[in-house]
Amino acid sequence: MHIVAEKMGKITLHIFLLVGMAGGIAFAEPSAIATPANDMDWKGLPEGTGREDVFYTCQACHSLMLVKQQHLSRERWQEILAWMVKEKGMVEPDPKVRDSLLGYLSTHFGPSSGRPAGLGSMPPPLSTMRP
Amino acid sequence: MADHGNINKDLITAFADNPDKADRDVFGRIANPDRRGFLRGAGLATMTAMLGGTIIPFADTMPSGFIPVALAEEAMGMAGKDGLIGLGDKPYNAETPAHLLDDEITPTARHFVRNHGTVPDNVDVSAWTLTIDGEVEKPLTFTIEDLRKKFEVVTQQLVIECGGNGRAFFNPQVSGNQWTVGAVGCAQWTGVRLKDILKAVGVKKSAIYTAHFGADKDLADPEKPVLSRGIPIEKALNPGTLVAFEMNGAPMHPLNGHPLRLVVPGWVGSTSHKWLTRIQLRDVVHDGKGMTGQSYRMPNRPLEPGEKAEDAAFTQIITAMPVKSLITSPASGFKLDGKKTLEVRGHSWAGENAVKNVEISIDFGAKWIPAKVAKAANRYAWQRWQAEVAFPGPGYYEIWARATDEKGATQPFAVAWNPKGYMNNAMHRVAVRVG
Repeated sequence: MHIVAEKMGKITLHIFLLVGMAGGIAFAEPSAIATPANDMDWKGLPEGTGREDVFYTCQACHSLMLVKQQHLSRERWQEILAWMVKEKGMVEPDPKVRDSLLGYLSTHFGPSSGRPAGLGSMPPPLSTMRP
Repeated sequence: MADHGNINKDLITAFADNPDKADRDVFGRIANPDRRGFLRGAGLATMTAMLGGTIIPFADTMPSGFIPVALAEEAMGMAGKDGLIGLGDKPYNAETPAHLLDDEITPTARHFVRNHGTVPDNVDVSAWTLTIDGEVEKPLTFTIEDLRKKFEVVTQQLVIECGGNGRAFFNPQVSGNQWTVGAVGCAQWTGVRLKDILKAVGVKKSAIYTAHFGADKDLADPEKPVLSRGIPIEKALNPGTLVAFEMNGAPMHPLNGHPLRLVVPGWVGSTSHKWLTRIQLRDVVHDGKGMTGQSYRMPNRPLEPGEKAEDAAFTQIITAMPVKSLITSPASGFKLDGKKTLEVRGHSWAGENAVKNVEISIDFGAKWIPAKVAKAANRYAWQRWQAEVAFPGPGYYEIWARATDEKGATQPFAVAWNPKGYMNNAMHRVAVRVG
């Protein structure tokens, strides 16, 4: 089963922490959303400037799995953001955040000559010759 | 991992038995006196963390005792699906590896999942209703029991294929879920003909299109429909178009539309509306979510790879899917040891048309070997094919399959690039090493 479970592991941990306590419940200081402590918690997003913005902004509506499948130019990422704001109810990010998102996404999920992940043992792209 | 399922079931049981206590124990929250929202910020942080750091919209109006649907889904998870490749866990999207689609009838556990929003929970089958209204003589509302009693119940094997199947192969890559070849299935669907329901309500002459509505919820705004597409009235009146309530002789998988859905066979999957609650007949082409802009539309002219086109150029609403085939054996990457011949088999389908032949090549199309193609079990079922290929010697080969339909349309090597990555019916290719 390829639908995993980084999120599931985290939930298991939290439930153990909370349900396992008899009586009172101890909490960390009320704070903003807990910052991921290690790479696993970043859902596979590679390290880089803007990762945090992407992590929180993009998961508002959908899984990061969708983001990680993309390989788009900065211009195309820009178009996608605009489209999500227009068609999908995304809150327009403020210019600084938008810039941060675009920088990260076009660097780490930019166009590649490689194949999308998940093509596995399929044959390489069709052409043994160059134009 | 085995524990996890139990833990989440305990979560749901805890909330079902005593929501207030569960709220205190699990989230550490005590609801405001009006039973909404959090008194302590700590509760929100915990719930947020449990949802993987997602920003929770509407947190201040969340009723106490409420388990976010996302968590309930995780307890349910993709249970009942077997071996699918996940493209997304919110919303759920997963395709089937080709070699797991080998059965003539796609088992429920192997049928792909394509969701746009959240899956309805707490489905009460006996209370579920389907309303038919709009350009009709007499709008009616049916329960599922009504449908079973009033109309002839039929069972058909029907192909459903996602419009984006094959999207991953476009170059340059396009945005969206990167389906490869597995967003297709042919399960056995039981239901009643939409045609028979429409006869009962009386279709007005003014009706030219349907508009479909369901119970799934938009991720950004649960008040808006996630998706609302439709079909021309002629396809709605086609006897192959079913309102289905069973999949492979059992209640449908929740991710495949339980308890009621449309199956519009041979047409782009997004017309086969799931968790169906209403069909409205309209006197205009429906303009709901997923009908406008570039959604499920093709441009009115071929584009250069990577070319931009304005929305107005996307005039062709996608309807029937084009001729296509799938190699389900061998799996790509197969190693053939000690033999030089191999049985190759799979399925083929062609929208509104029957498949006339399927051919196999192991030398990039220099020579084509005809496969034996079976008749479809019924109209709109896929057709199995089978061939024996002989390799000239050891080495690395590609096996290609090419289907041709009764109108003479055949699968191409590649398709014209389009910005949404639709309609990729280029030939399926698997890699084999003969040693």
